[in-house]
Amino acid sequence: MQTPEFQGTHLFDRLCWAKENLDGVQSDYRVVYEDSVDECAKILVPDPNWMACALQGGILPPVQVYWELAKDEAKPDFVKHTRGHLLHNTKPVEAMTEEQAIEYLIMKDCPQHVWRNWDEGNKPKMVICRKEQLPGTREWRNAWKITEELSVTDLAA
Amino acid sequence: MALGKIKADTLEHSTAGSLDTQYVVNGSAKAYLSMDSSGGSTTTFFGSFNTSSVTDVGVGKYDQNFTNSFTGANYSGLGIAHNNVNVITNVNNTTFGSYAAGASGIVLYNGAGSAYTDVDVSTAHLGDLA
Repeated sequence: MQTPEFQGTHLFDRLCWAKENLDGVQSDYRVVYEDSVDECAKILVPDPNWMACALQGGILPPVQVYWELAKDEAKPDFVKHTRGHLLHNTKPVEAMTEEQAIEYLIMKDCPQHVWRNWDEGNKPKMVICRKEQLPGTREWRNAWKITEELSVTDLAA
Repeated sequence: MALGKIKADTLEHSTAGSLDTQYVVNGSAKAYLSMDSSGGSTTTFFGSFNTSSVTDVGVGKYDQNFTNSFTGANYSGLGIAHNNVNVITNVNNTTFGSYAAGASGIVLYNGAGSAYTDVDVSTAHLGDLA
């Protein structure tokens, strides 16, 4: 199905169109990351409807738009967004592969200090894996950590 | 493809009065999520809208990340869970007490409030979008 020309259309309206016309795609990819040494590993699970939008193309704004909004939100005097139009008026991104979509999602929904510095340290702060590679149950969930056996060099190779 | 559009400021009933369409716009949920957080090692989605991902923060703690952010942090999050579990939404799971326009924290704790727990949960969020 061809995506309508959506630049200038409110993002919410685009999502309504996608919900009506696209089937959800549940990715098997998961992103495991640690943003604090005192906390357990967090697991990012992609939403099926969002993934359908990413694979379809022409719906989602460039990820840089979210960074701009995040900058505004980080200001101490932030009350409300005044640049929300960036979400709606910026040219939407083309269709992505599932892997590209996961990279986009990491840059949107994971803390920047994690994904920008994922390989600085003795072990990676972030790992992309398949669902099957996670523990089978949630037993000891609050103690989950990225294994010490993974090295940044191994992952890069 | 053109999108169909009806423009109206007011809805009027033949006998029961009229309603400003802004009430409809403002009163509609802008994001929802229904998920299983207990069936396996990670979250399974039953249904969702305007959600890009869910972050599993730990037992009974999740972040719902929005595709279209809210205009600020003063939106309303509603939640309901199975098994007499209480739900708090619109909290920031990292710092408890601060809020974010682009994500809403979901906290699930047992009826006594003494422990976090994982159960099926549904949320709806209302407010103004960015």
